[in-house]
Amino acid sequence: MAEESKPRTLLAEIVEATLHPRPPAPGFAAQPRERARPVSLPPWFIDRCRQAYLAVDFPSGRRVLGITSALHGEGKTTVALGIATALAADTGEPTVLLECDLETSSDEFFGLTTGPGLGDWLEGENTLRILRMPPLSNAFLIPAGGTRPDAARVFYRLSQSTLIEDLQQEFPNIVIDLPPMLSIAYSSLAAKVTERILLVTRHASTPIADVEKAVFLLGHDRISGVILNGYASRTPRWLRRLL
Amino acid sequence: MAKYADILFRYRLRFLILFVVLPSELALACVFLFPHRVAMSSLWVDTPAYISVSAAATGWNQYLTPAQNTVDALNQLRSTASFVKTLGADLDSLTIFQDQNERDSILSNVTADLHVTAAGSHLVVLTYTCPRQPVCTTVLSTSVQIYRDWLANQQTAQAKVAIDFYSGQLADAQAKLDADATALNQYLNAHPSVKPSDAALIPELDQLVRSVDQDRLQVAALRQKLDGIRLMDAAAAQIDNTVLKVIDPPRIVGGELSSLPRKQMAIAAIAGFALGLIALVGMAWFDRAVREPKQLEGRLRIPVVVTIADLATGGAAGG
Repeated sequence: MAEESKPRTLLAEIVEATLHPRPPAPGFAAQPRERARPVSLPPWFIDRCRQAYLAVDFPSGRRVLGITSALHGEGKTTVALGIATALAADTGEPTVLLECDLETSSDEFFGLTTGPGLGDWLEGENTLRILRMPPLSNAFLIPAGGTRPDAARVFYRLSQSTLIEDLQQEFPNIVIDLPPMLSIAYSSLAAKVTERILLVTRHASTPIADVEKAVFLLGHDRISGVILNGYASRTPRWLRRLL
Repeated sequence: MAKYADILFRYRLRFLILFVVLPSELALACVFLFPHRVAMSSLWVDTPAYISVSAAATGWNQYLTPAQNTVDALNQLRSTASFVKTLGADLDSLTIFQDQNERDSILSNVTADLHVTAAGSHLVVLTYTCPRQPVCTTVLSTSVQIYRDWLANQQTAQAKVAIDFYSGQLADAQAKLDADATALNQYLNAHPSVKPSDAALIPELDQLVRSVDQDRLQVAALRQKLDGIRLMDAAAAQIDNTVLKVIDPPRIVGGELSSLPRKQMAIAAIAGFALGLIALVGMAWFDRAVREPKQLEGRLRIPVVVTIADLATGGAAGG
């Protein structure tokens, strides 16, 4: 209990400090804050991601959406970033992208220097980093941190914690970048983090059998829809219509 | 089908090679692997009516030129099994074939490889394509000879029917003449004082004399016809030589690559195309990747909420 109360107490402070930073004391310069500089996504991509989240039925004004895939390299993190950007831009509400892929580092993708992240915070080893993602002032990122050999245990802690509920107090929109379902042993835990999940598949790459396994592991009811990423059908449009 | 189309267009360069380049190359290789030679022969056909004896009495269309009639007859003749059988027997007697395979190949394709065309009103050109020069020319000359024999046989058969018919007619006329002559003699014997020159005075005698004269004329006419037909029958081969003359004996025309081995080329092209088709089916069979939204929705019973184009290719490719 002592381990759990420590991060909870800190979380509120961290969120408060991130959303409402205190002005520097008179005569002191503002301390430079670390910001995420993710890869720039083209407008059409964000628009497609917008269509994806709009297709999900959220019961209340709070939106918690998990993004996962069957395997690595299917564009899950890119889609999660696109959806977080679209959500932040559309709602104007604080939106956080929670990186939960503890076995793969996305620091380079998000333009971060290697540093502590969600895993370290859950283990009580370090403070939680919540970074702004310019250019939107209401888009934030919680990085996963460095890759960990004990990812399963950390993820178990995440599934048992109230982190999502606590974040929801200040962030109406939470996009969770979950680990790929078939690459990790604790995929069933990942499925329990959120009730609504979008499953990303890569066109002409992901085996359909793996997608079916991922659906089985996640549970059919949790999946709000499938995103077919990297879709580039070479078949002429007229022929596609005929077929 | 969408899956097949997607694979086909995705790997379009490979399938272009498999479906177009490979069959073309195989077909081209056949030109060098199976060189064919072309033999040609020209025939001059006369109008049978010109010599007042029909060389092809049956099936001769009066509205067509002699060359057209001959082409028609030859085309019909070469498509018969009898022609192929006779050709095979004649070529066997000439020991032209190297082996049984060559014999079978030549005889099975002779109908398709032998072409007869009318090059004018009287000129008929025969061309034949085959792998070996001696075979080509021999097949052509034998085919012409078979046609010639066929004409002669037909003529002989017609003559035989006519001879039989006119022989019967002649026999009847001769018998009637004999009977009438006997009746006249009996009358003259019964009346010794009457002479045949008194026929103008005696109606009964006049009737008998007239009958005998008419019978003699009838017998003479029939005998003349029969002699004519017998002459035609006896000279059937010579008459055909007159009607059907070989202007250019069978000879090889063009170089070694002047003729295409169409059959082998077609087989090679089809084989190449089939190879491409097998590759396509194989790739589709082993391809288990997600391809179309409909396919995903059908398998998972979960809606595909959006398709996103590859970031590298840009939004234009997006569905």
